[in-house]
Amino acid sequence: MRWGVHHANHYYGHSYVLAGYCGLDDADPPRMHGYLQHGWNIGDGLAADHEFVAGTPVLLWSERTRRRAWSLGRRETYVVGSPLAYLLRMEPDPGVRREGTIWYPFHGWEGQHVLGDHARLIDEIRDTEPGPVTVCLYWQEYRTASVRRRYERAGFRVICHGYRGGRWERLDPRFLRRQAAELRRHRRVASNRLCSAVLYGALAGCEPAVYGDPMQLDGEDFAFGGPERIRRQWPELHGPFVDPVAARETAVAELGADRLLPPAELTRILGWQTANGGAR
Amino acid sequence: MNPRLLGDEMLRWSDLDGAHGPGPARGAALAGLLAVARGRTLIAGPHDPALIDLAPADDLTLLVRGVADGEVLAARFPAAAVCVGGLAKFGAEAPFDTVIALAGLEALASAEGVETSWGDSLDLLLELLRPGGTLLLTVENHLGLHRLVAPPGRPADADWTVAGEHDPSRPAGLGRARDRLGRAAVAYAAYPDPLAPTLVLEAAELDREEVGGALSALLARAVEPLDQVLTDPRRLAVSALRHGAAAALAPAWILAAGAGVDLRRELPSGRTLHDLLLRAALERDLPAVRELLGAWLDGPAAGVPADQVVVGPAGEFTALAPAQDPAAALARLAADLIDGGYPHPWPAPEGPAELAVTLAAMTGREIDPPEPPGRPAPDVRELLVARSRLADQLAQARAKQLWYERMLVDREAELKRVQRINLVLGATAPARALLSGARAARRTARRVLRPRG
Repeated sequence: MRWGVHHANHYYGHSYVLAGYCGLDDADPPRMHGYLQHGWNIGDGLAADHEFVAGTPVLLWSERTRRRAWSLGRRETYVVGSPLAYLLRMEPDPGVRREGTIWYPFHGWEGQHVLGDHARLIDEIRDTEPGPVTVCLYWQEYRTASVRRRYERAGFRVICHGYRGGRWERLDPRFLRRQAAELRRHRRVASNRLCSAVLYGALAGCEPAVYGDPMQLDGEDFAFGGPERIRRQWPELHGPFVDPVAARETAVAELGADRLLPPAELTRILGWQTANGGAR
Repeated sequence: MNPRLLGDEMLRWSDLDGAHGPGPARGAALAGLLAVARGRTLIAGPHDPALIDLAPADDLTLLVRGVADGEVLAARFPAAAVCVGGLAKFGAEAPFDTVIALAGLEALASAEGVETSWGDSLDLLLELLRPGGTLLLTVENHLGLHRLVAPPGRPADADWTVAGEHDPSRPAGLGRARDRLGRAAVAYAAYPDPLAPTLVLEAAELDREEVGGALSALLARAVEPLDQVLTDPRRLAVSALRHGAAAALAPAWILAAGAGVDLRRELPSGRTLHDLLLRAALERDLPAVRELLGAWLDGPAAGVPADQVVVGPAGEFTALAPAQDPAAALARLAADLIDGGYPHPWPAPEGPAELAVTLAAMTGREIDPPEPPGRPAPDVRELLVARSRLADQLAQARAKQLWYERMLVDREAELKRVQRINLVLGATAPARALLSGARAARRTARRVLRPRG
């Protein structure tokens, strides 16, 4: 990958949320001096395909991820917490009546393909979920009419939060806000794999669930243990109905909601002090 | 005749002027000990006249080895018997009620006299003391902190024989020194200089864990002025205290047989803020770091160096030193974190001033970068830490530069491509038609792809 990684900081509108939290223009976030973890993962916090430039701080969501990253040789690390946790803190729950389940079928990212049986998954969702179901697809699947229609025909509402953004192009500053708003309309959040969305939901007040065929990516790399390890390490989040209190505790820790930075500190850690005029 | 020359006096010599060796025993920290002097008193070896003033004795004998010192003392203390020469030649008609030798046994030997071992000197001194009399004796610790942090030095004029710790008659270690004395003695630990301590406290007190914070604050302050060192003596002293070794590593012990002095002081219980902050930082407990920093900067101890603040069991802060500018106190903490080579959590701070600004930001404050704290020349360990840190920073800066260059080339190519497209599209009517067709296609695509929800 020739162009390095900083563009990943803008994925899902993360940098926009943090800029707003730091009191900067949230329509045009400055460049971050570091790699921001952009999704929950079970490795060192960075995506496997991202080139790493030595000495650039790695800004992680949780203390557990930081310890793991350290054990894998990463030194310049700092736990900042996840952008969603900042967003939820900035924008209080509007308190609309929550209804039904938002379901995130496991997806691949650009250039990856999921191997699995959508039909069986649909049956399982129908059998399990007590209320109306919203299925949220990744944009690739959403754009694939055959996949989308399958879920629609099952009677589910099908949505997509938007593009996560590419290399500074098609960035979607409102992705995370849109996702937070959807989560706060639902009583439950579920997926066939424990992933960012399930943890986000648990933090946003949904009862989480992980069940169904976890499916597989074509050529998926299980260097960090894959779904089996996730199931062993976080059993409290697996099953169609889990203890919401224990699940929330895990979500708080994994998303770093218990260790968010004050705006002045975040501004410095992201190297945004010069962007702020007065602040250093 | 005053002074009385014993025959082995040293004609061209002074201990009081400090030019030939470590100088006389001196300093206000020793003042309290002089109060033990009772009755017929011998002060053996070079002692600062200001200390001798404090000995409440009518019958005073002073023993020094340099003629110049004898003359100075005779003039200053006309009522005292001043003798000049080595201990071996000194004889007294009657034993003394009190013998004080706070400059140690080494300074009692004359270059002109017979060489006596440490043990022989002690026996000679003890023979001068009446049974049950009071003795104050300083024993330098050759494994003392002052020696552990000292770079190799040159022998001084006073070191005409330097057997030191290789003298088998010299007890090595506090326990052995006490045993060798052969009588019950209270031991005081003296920091940071064996002859000019600024902190003297009962050795047993250094084991009081509940006041460990206050003790480490006292020790840190006492050893701070040491310059020309291999490693920061504050870190070593505080670590020694934590390991119950502060008495064992004291630069000197003062043994008091017979009457003792109570030097105990009121100490608040708890640990230092510095210690608590360091622990939280090393454990990566950043919420705790933020809380401690906030409590410090919001309270009356703001500006007091973190190693001079004791945090009590209920979280109350006790300042053991005056406050300075809070930003300066933060810079001092930051310098300790960086120079100490601690694996602290903050990614590659440029220096203490920058880290101080980050620490302030952790409490929501925005401050200007403070002046980095003035320090004596960096110690050797610090230089090694700095060298390795700078090497890392250079390698990282090079890696980043390479990345920026590749990024620049990439973005420039992208810019050229876009400019070429603009040129083509802006130039001709067919190109403009092509452009509007492309726009229409994009609108259609957006409609199809627009996320619902």
